[in-house]
Amino acid sequence: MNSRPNPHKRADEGAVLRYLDDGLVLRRGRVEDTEALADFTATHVGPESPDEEIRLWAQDLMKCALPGFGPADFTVVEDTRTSAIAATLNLISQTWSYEGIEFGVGRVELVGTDPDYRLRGLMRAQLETVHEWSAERGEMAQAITGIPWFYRRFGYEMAMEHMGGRIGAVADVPDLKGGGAEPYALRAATDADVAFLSRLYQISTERYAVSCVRGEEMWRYELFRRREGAMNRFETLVIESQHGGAAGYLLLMPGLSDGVLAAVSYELAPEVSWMSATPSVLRRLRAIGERRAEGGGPFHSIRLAFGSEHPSYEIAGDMLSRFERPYAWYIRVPDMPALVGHIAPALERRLAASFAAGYSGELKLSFFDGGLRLAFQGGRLAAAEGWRAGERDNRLAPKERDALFPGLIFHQLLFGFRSVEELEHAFPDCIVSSDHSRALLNVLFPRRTSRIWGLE
Amino acid sequence: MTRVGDAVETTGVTDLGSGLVLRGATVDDTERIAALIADRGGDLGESRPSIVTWTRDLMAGNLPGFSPGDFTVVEDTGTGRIVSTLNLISQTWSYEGIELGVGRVDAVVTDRGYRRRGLSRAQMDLVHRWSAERGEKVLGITGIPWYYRQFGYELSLVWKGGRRGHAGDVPRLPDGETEPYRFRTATEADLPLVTALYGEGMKRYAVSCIRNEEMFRYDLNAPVDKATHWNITTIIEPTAGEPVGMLRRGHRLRDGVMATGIYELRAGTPWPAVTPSVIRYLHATGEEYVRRDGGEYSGGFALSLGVEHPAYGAMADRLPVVEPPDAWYLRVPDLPDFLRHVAPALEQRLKETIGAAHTGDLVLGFVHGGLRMRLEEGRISSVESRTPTQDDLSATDATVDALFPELVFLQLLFGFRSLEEIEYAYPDCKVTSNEARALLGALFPKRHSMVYAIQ
Repeated sequence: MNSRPNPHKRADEGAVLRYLDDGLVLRRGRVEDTEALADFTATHVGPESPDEEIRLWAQDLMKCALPGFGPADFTVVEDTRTSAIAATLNLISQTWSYEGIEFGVGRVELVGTDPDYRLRGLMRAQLETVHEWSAERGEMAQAITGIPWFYRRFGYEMAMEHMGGRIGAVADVPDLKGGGAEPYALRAATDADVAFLSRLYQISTERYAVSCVRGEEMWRYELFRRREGAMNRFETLVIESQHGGAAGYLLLMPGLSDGVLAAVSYELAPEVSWMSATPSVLRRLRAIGERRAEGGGPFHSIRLAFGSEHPSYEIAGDMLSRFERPYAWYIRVPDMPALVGHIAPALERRLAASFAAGYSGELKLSFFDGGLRLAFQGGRLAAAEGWRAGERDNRLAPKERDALFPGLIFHQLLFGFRSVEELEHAFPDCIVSSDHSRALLNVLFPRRTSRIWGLE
Repeated sequence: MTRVGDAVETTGVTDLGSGLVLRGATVDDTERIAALIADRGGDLGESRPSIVTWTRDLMAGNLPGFSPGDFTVVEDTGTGRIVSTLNLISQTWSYEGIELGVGRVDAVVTDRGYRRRGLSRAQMDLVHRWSAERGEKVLGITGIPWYYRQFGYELSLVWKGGRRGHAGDVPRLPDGETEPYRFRTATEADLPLVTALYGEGMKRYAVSCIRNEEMFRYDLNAPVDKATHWNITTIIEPTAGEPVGMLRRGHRLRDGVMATGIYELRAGTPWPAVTPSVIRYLHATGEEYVRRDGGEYSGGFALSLGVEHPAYGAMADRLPVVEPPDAWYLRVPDLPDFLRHVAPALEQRLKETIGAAHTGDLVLGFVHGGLRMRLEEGRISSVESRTPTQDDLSATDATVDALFPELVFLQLLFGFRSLEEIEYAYPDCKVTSNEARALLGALFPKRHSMVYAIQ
C-alpha cells in the first residue's frame, strides 16, 4: 500500500464545525468527499442537472488544481444518518485591486442544497462559517455571483457589474478590404506565453476600478490545470501580428452556444492599435465559428462578453448591435470603515486630481442603522470610522448627516457601480444634504466600470 | 426596556404591557396629541403652532370623513401621557380614472422616551386593519426616509417636485401694458369651477387624489395657519370676463420662496399667456408677506406642480431650478385584488399598444410571492396570487415571465419607474422573454402622477 502523504492535504480537512438539528453536521470538506461532492454539485448547482461542467470543476477544485485552494475550503453539511451530502459551498480566497490597492476577498462558490433539505437554515449556517473564515484570513470583502435576490438576506449588495457585453451578426463582420493578407493571426497559447499573458492582463486592469489580481501561476492554472470540459475553462489564444510576435490575447468559450461564438476576454499590447487589430480579430473569430459549426448546427452571431465597456465595442460599432445587460456581483463588506481606510490612497488620488484637491473637512454618511464618518485633512483621509446619526437626523431634512444611503446602498457608490445621481433616482430615500456634499461624493466615488475575472 | 409583546385587546383598548394601552383617540385627547406631534415627540424642543392648529382642526371633525377615532394613541396609564400616535385619513384616489380607496397614514410620532418598543408597529398593524375594513386597496405615507419599508411599504409614487426661479427670472410686464389677469381669493360661489378645473387637470396624471366640492369647501373654511402648504385657493380671471383658472398657494413664504402647489387653467386658455402673470402675482404676494411678517424675501418663486406640468413648458427659461421630487411610500396589501380593480385601465393601455387582443399568461415572481395574470383577447380575465418556487430565483429558468424581488413591482405598477430603469437599478429584476417585456411595457408604462392628498 502506498502510504506517501498527500502534500496538499490539510490537517483540518473534514473537521466538524457545528452540529445541526436532525442528525446534520456541518464540517469542512475532505479529499474523500471528492466524488460525492462532484455528484452533488453537478446535480444541485446550476440550472442543468446533471451539469458535467460543474462536476469537472468541482473535481478540479477538490484535487487542488487551483493554487491555494483545497478540500477544506469547502463546507459540507452531511446527514449523519445516511452519510448523504445535504448542502455545500466553498470559499475561494483571492486578491482584488481597487485602483491598484490590493485587498483580500473571499469568493463564495458552488453553492447548493438538496431540495429535501431546504428551508432549514443550512445556507445561513455555512455562510456564517465562511464569513468567519474570511475574517480570519483578513479579507475585507466577500463576493458571490449568485441567483437573484437570495444573497441580499445575508448582508450582500449587488454592487459591481458582472458579465454583460455585445452581440453582433456574423454577416456584419467587415470583410478584409483590398484582398491582402490578414494582418493578425491566432494561435493557441503555450507555457512560453505565460509571462506575456500575465503582463498584458495586468495592464488591462488599469482600465477598471476594481479587478482581480492574477499572476503567472494563475495563468498556468487556467491554461494547463483546468480540465477540458470543466466549467470556466476557456480556450486561450495569442494574437500575433503578421510580422510575428505576440500582439494580444483572446479567451474563448468552448464550442458554440445556440449558434453564438463567445469571447470572454480580448486584450492588446499597448503598442497595438485597437482599430487595426479588431476587424482582423473579428474575422478570425468568424473563421473559428465557421470551423466549429462544420459538424452541423448554426453559427450566426459573435458575442463579445467583455462587460459594459471595452475598447473593441467602439471599433466594432454597429456590428455589435445587441447590448447584453450586465448582471452584478453580490458584495459584502463586513467592516466598511476598515475597507475605506484601506483604499485611502485611491480616494486621495481622486481628490488630488479634482477641484477638491487639498480638501479638509468631514463627510458623514448615514446608512440608517449605522454610518461612516470620513475626515479629510489637507487632501488626506485622516479618519474613516463608524458613525451613527442621532434620532433627530431621521427626517428628510438633515441635522447631522451629509448624505443618507439607507441599508447597503453605499456599496454601490464605493465600488463605482452607480453614480450619486443614479442612486438618488433609483432610491428616493438616498438623500444628499447639500451641493457641497454631492460634489465631494462625486469626486471620491465616481462611477467607474469594474471587471472581475475572479479566481474560481 | 420592554417591547410590545403579547398585546391583549379588550373592547377597542389593547394592553401593550408595561402600563401602555393602545386605543382609538377621543376628542378629549386633542391637546395631548397636539402637544406630542407639534414637538415631534421631543425632537424639536419647541411646539410648532401650525401643527397644533392642524391637529385641533382634525380632532374637531372639520375634515370631511375624518373623526377623532381615526387617530390611534398609545397612553402611558401610569402618567396619563399620550406617548405615541398616528392617524389614518381615508380618501379616494384615481388610477387612470378608476377610483380606489386609500388610507393615508400621517402624524406618526412617538415620544423620545418610548421609542424602539414597537409602538409604531402596533399602531400600524391597527390602522392596516382599519383600512382593510374600509375596503381600501392602498395605504400611503409621505414619511421619513427608509423607515416605513419595514412595514411593507415601497417608495413607488412621485411626490412633490417642481421648478423654481429667482427674482431676476420674474418676467417683467412690458412698459405701457397692464396686467392682463387678476387674482382673488376664491369664494363659495367659485367652488364648482375650482372643482371642475382640478378634476380636469388631474386627468393629466396616472394617479391623483379625488377632491370634490365638499373638500374644496373645507379648504376655504379651514384655519389658514394650519400645516398645509397650499391653503389659499385663488381665482385667476382676466381684467374683464369670466375666470380662466385657479391656483392654490401658501399663506406665507416657505424657505424664503413664494410657491404655488396647484395651478390649472380652463381648456383652451394658453399657458404662456397666463403663467407670466401668475409668476408676477407670486412675486408680489411674497413681497406683501415680507411686509406683513417681516424677514427677508429674495424674490424667489416656485411652481411646485410635480415633475411635469404645462406651465413648465410655457416658462422654461424662467424656471431654471429643478426641485427633485420625493416619493410616496405605498403599501398594497392585496395585489391581485388591486390589479383586478384597475383592470379596465390596464386593458385600455393594452388596447393602444402591440398588446391589443393579446391572449396569454403573465407570471410575475416577487421572491416571497407572486401573481398570475390571465389575458384573453386583450381582457384581463383573472389575476391570482401565486406561490413562489425555488426555481423562480434561477436567472435562466423561465418559470416566471419576470422577477421583481419583494416590493419593487409597485414602482412599475404606479408608473414611478420604467421597466428599463428598474432593471438598471435592481440587477436582480429579470424579464425572461421579449414577449413579457413588451407586455409589461404596455401594461405599466412610466407615467407621471400628482397626488394632492387629503391631509
